[in-house]
Amino acid sequence: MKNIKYSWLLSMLTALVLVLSACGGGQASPTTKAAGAEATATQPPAEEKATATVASAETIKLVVWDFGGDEFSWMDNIVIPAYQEKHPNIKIEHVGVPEDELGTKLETAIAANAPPDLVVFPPNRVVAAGHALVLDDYMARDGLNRSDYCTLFGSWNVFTGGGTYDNKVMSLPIDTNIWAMMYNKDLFAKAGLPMLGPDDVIDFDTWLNYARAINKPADKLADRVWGSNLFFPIWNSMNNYMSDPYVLGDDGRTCLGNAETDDWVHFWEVQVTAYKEDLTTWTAGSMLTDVQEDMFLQGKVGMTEAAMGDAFNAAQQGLNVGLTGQPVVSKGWPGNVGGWNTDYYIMAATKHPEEAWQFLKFLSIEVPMIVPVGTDALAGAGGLPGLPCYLPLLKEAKFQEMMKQNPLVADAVKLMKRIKLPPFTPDIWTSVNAFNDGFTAMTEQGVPVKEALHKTAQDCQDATDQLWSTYEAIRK
Amino acid sequence: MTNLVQRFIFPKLSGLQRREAISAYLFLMPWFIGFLMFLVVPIGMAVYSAFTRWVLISPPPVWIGIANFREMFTTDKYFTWSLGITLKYMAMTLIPLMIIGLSLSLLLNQKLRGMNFLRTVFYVPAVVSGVAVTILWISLLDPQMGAVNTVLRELGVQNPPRWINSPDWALPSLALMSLWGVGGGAIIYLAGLQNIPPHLYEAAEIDGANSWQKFWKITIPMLSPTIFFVLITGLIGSFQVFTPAYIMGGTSRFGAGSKYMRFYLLHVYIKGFQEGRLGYASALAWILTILSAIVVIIVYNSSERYVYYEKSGEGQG
Repeated sequence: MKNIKYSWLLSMLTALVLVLSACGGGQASPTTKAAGAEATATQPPAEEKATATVASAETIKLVVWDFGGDEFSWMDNIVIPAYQEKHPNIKIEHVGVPEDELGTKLETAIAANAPPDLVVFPPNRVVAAGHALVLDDYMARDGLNRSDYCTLFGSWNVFTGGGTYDNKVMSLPIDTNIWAMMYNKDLFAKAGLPMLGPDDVIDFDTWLNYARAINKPADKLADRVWGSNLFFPIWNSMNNYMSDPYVLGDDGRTCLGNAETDDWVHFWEVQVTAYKEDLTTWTAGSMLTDVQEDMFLQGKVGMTEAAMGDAFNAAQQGLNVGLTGQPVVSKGWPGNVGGWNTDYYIMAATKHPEEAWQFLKFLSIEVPMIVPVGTDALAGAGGLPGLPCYLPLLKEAKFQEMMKQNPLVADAVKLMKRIKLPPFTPDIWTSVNAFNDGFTAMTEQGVPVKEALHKTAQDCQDATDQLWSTYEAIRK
Repeated sequence: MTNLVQRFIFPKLSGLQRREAISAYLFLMPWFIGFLMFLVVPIGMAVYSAFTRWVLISPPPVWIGIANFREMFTTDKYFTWSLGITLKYMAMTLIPLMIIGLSLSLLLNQKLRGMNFLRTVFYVPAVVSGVAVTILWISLLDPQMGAVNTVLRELGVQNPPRWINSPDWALPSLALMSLWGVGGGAIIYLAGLQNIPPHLYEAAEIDGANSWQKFWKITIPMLSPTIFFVLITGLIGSFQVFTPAYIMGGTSRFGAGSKYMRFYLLHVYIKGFQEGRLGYASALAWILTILSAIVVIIVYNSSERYVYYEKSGEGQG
């Protein structure tokens, strides 16, 4: 009887040890795995091998990570069913990870040797550390050229969704978008302001004057009209190259001096003035700031930062909306538009690089034709907000017609051509995040602009130095 | 096989004793394996990684000696800053929470109708998720549309605080929010209060003690172990503030990671997971552990002076 008990106990113990060993197993093998992945990344793929793999009856699962939700609902609703119908042996598992968690989860997954096969917008350092598959050989094999893709394809910065790193192609964009300004034409007309087109460039002094002209204070929220939404610099002017010199300098690593030029001092003074005069929703507080886009859609804000889809959405809701570039920091500087692409990266550790590549190619070349794009993809409609980045698609009748029908599309295309790519930096957000506190010091604590700016530029420099140091240590 | 077991495992024990010993160890084994894998090994790794440059996605960790600690004390501006924020918050919340919690528990200890309902009401905030509580308070404290400022304006306050949007009020906002959870501590005090033998109060009344004397001479000494428990857990909790700072910072105009709400643990998180520097974050975490331990040891060692433990048999003979 006792022997039976011991056997039972020992069996349970063995099972427990096996389970726990399995938990720890991932930790032991990443080096081996990474080495394997590296080999995959550098081997020129053979088409025959690909065909043989795809043609086999084996079911292959590809795990795809993006932000999920409405923004990526087209993946579940249209892309996956369409792809699986064409490729019954491929099963796509789509995982939505909230935007602010994706980087951390991805890095943890990489460390645990369980990354997805494809991921949208990985942190720069993930690519720098060699965890994304290099695609040049795949492109050459399948007859795709870099020149087939839109402007941002040539850049490297995860924010802009650029696809190259060290002159190697790391991703294929699906769509491309602008980060510009839309304005309420009726409020502009009422204030006697000129209509702005995609070729107009205004500076922040002009913006301030326009905001003052439109602004209408009121005791009741229902009667209130704000001159503008705040064009917050760390989201707009800084990373979108709207100053000369660039906020981090030509080398992408020098905040001191470049972030505190006379132009920048003046820019911050204008922001502080707008804040103190209550011309933007920011002065009111966080709840109104959070809904500032809705305030614009309700006709209560004169101007706001906007992507192409935002302008289409506003027009769809009956607002008389115009699309132009954002104000520039340096007078006469032409760069008044930012932009980004939506693109997925193939993880180097994928067990199915060829299948992942085929899916990525499908996303880039075929998806813009089957998923609502641009004007058809209004907020919540589950489409891509921009236009195809694969340029041959723009010649298709569907897109030609779209440009003819909707002047906002034509304006957006013109604005796209104005995008000026900033120099590479490992993480623009971490570099310039300190300017949030700088602005708070200027507006809430009365610190003189120049003094606050210099202190913040030093914080920015410290953060940037640290970023570059980490980046260079992990770079492959 | 049996001989082999007898020879190498517990050789000095008899058969029965050996079987019992093996049984005992087998029963202990799951806990021991868990203890090793989930506590000892991670702690060991944390110690090791504190001396390395370790980026999660770029293994292996590289040994850099005390460079992380040197950076902390020389170039990392947010190290002392975040520690200062944490200590300020501790000063703002710890003692007020204890005093208000105790006062509340005295009220909740009254024998009135509907007291159980009131006790539940006051305890509810303690069981609500920290994220939900934070989001609720973000709305309440909104400078323009929040309920708090609306009431203040109605009361004639011309320029009410801008709460989480103001560098001066951001920390008091968090402290105010934490006071909302005072019911959690009050319930612990209440349990302590109900353990005080009534005959002590009866004896004091016979001796002519007034309410203040009963409170000061009986309630406080008899409640001192509970107060001490709340103090220690409150101290440790203050070192560990993360959720409200992370969420409030992210939704306020400062942005997540702003220095105005950069609590120490948030700083550790930013370094470890946003900047990917796990080695440096481990070093920061160790400093927090050591500091917390020092504070707790000091408080613990001084507790003999103000904590009264009723011992069985004390005073007899």
